[in-house]
Amino acid sequence: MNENETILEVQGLQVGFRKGNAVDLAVRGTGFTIHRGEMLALVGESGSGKSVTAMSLLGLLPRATAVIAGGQARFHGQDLLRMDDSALNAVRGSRISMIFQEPMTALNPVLTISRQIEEVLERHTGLRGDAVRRRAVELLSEVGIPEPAARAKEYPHQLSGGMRQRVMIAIALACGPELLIADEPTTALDVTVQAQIMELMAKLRRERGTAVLLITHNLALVREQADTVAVMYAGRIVELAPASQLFTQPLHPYTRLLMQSIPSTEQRGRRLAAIAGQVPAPSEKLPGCRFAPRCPLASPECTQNVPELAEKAPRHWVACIRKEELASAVSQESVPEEAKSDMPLLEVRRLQVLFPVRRGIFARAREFVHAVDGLDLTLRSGETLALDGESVCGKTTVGKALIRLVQPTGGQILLDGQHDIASLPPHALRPFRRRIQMIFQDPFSSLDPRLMVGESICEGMDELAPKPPAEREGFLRELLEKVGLPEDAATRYPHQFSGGQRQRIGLARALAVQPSIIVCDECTSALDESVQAQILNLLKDIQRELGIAYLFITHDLSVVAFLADRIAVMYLGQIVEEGPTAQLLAHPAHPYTRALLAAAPRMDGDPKSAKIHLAGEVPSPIHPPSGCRFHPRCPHATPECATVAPPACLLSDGHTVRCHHA
Amino acid sequence: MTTQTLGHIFRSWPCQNAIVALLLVFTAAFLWKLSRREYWRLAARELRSRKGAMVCAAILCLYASIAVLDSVGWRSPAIDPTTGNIIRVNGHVVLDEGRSVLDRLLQPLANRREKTYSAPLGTVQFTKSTVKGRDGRMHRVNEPLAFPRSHLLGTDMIGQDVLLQALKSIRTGLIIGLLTTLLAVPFALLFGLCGGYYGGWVDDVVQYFCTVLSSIPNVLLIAALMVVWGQGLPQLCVAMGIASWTGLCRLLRGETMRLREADFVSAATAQGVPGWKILLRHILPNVLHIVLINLVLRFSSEVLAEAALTYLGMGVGAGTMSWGTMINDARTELTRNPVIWWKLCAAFTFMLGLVLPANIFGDAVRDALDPRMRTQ
Repeated sequence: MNENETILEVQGLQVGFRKGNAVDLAVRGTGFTIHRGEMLALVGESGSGKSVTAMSLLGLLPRATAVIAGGQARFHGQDLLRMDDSALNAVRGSRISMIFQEPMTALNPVLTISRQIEEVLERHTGLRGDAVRRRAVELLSEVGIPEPAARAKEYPHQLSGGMRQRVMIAIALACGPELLIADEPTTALDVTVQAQIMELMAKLRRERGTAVLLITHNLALVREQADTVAVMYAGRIVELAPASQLFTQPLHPYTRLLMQSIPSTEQRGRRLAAIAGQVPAPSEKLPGCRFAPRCPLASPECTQNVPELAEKAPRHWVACIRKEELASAVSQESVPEEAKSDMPLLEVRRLQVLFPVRRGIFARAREFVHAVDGLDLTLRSGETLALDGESVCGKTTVGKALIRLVQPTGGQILLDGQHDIASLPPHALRPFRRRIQMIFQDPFSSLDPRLMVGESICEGMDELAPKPPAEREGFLRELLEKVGLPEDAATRYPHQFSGGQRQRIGLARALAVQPSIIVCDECTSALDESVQAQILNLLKDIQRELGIAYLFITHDLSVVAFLADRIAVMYLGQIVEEGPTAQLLAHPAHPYTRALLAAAPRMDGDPKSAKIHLAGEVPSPIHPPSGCRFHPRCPHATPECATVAPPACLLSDGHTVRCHHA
Repeated sequence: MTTQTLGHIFRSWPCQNAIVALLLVFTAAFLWKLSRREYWRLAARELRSRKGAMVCAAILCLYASIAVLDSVGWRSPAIDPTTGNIIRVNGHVVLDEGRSVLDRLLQPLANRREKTYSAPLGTVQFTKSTVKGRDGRMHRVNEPLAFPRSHLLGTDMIGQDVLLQALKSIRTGLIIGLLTTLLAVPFALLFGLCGGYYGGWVDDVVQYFCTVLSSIPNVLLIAALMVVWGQGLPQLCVAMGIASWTGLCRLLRGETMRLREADFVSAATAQGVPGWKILLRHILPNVLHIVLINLVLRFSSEVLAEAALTYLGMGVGAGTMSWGTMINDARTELTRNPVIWWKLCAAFTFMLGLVLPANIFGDAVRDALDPRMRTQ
């Protein structure tokens, strides 16, 4: 086995898409080399051309519109870009495999998972009959699926997201590929499952020498996993270096800004480096460096010539003409932290939301999804409380129950310590509607495509706090300015705005009724890092100016570390730990919190630090485990945990935990 | 007796003309009202910028104006057949039974009666007849036409001009298409939106109703209704409307259920916007494209269904000309040798001339109503 054997060598790759008679280049000369057992990460924001690069290698781009405009991709000396279909089919799936982002749609729902693995085996190997079946089960056990023989007979919908991604990997591995292309393989998964999948990939590289081309936007993940990193921007690689070097000494201004735009504990009290503007569209004509319009260090030269990728330090390539000055850091503005008040604004007591599970036509609900089950929470005025947890733990339901989009089945929601809004009938609820507002996760579905932005923003205001027409105009203009939108935005339609701008519109709509609480439901998770930074900065500014309290629902601990004053960690409908951010991140008391923190890739700390791996996945909320709900996955569980639900116990000032062993 | 009198008044020309005038005024007022809204004005501007759509709109207008002309009554003074003078009673002119304006305009065409079939622009009859020649022997010849080269689309079995029939059928086709749709769409919208949005028992009721209605075969349902109400154009439209709204209703219910979960609906709810306003402002405009597509698609199927029902003897009835009856007639003509094709072709061409522009125009309207599809 030759350690340094080159598997894939891409040179000057140019891929474009036909638009009328013109061809817009999405990839403008990309080159990299992958060696045996190496993990090369291609990172960049959306629109950088990283996925197009990967798809073009396997000939997966739509034939009708995509054009390979130049370059070559030599896989063991053969040029992948110029292979005919039959030759490419022999390589695809057997010697190069691909894993996709969405494990829900990549599997055929009407075939058993075993059948889907067998299909690939039969296509590429001589195995038939029982041998194929045995190999399929072997593969399933290799990717860490428990009881592989039984699981093999199941259909995709019977598996969880993490399991499906494992099956996808099993299919990709079926023929022992030399190269695995993973396009955002863990983006749709929870952090604990992401850690499991990345561990599996690391094992493959160690044991089989499989090379991995990892495509992702998650810099923290890359920092912990990849050997080499290629940073892409607008179709070009702007920086290529070993991971350790890139993260300690980034040279290109884009890389540098990108890293500073990632929220973390260290970034608290500073404004995140938000890169103004957006990635240029492939059709935009920019003669020079494509980053120049957004670059704080750009000089007139930058806009004239395209900078070549040059080796600035050993094995560290950068495409920037100003690399001499690059060592000087891009400065960040600091913002003083303010003391927050202690006055409770919103108190949630024993909140319960059950969803009936109905089966059959006349069936009455006999089972319930315990989405939220006995949740206590206090939100103080002007503070940011982060609600953290994995998917299906019920955190979104909490948000929706607070603004009464779902009807709580029990418990109290006390506003100002006196008004219980949990069970108010709709007409009595109306005066309280304007107190709590929400910003939604998906910027594309949160605005009515057929209403002008101004109409969307003013809708709630006209309903709950009508203003005379003369004032209304001025108020709308003020709001738009506050959230950093141009004045003419009011008369445009949502599709004319980018994701980040739409989140600004969503914020303006919430602010229009002058609320005292805003529930932010994963409101930055659909955005690119640099745009997320803009929105997080804006949220902080608005809070400082208006004193609005945020309930920030997220699974992203780095955002929490940056933004939140206090953190509440949720597991299966209950809060397991709650406390001030610094305290909780430094001394997590609950085993679940510890596992979450360990599983989340971070931009600070030792990238190779040991991980705590949580076995299995979150159990079904239809039949939540007895006693402590975490006990089936807990490494410290004792018989007591399975029977007695742990009471909340106060560790230090404001830091409570529900665990028998804390 | 009173119902009969009422029916008589309803069918009288003054009443019919009043209805036509009311409809025209109502449509104009509706369009004027829409044109004052920004959303619709932008849509109209977008629509005008599409040449193909405007051509189709012109064709549709032509069809519509023919139908309107065919709906407006016209009574001329009655003429005494024996003397050829206008009849007067006590000095007042007596009016005749009355016909539509279109009938009057097409009078020259109607007057050119032949004896039987003739090919388009033909000079002789299509069928041979036995004629006694000068030599006293019987000959089988194609007799010359009374009006040679004047029948653009030929004549039918009783020598009527086919073009005239096709033109007269436009009103029937449009009425069937529009009236059926106008009956079905509000039902489908009301039940579909309410069922989808409110869910719970409202949805259950709508669903059971839909399921029951759609489990009865359409033709059977229409037949039953026609037996109760008797044959006629309005009855047919109502029966077809009742039989056909369930499909659209289900479609709208599904789409509404999807939209109800959309974040912008949640946002509106959280901002205290009442349910009916959400339905009107957020959900209705976002399902309108489905209604439009459905409207255009059902237009053609409605006209075809009329033909099928005519074949089963449950159509508009013998007195009314329609593309359905034309196609029904063509059934026997097609089995002859040589084939008599022009009646079928005429009906087909006129239907295509209506349905195809309607489809293209409908598509363009749908795109123009969607801000995401606008080019400007």
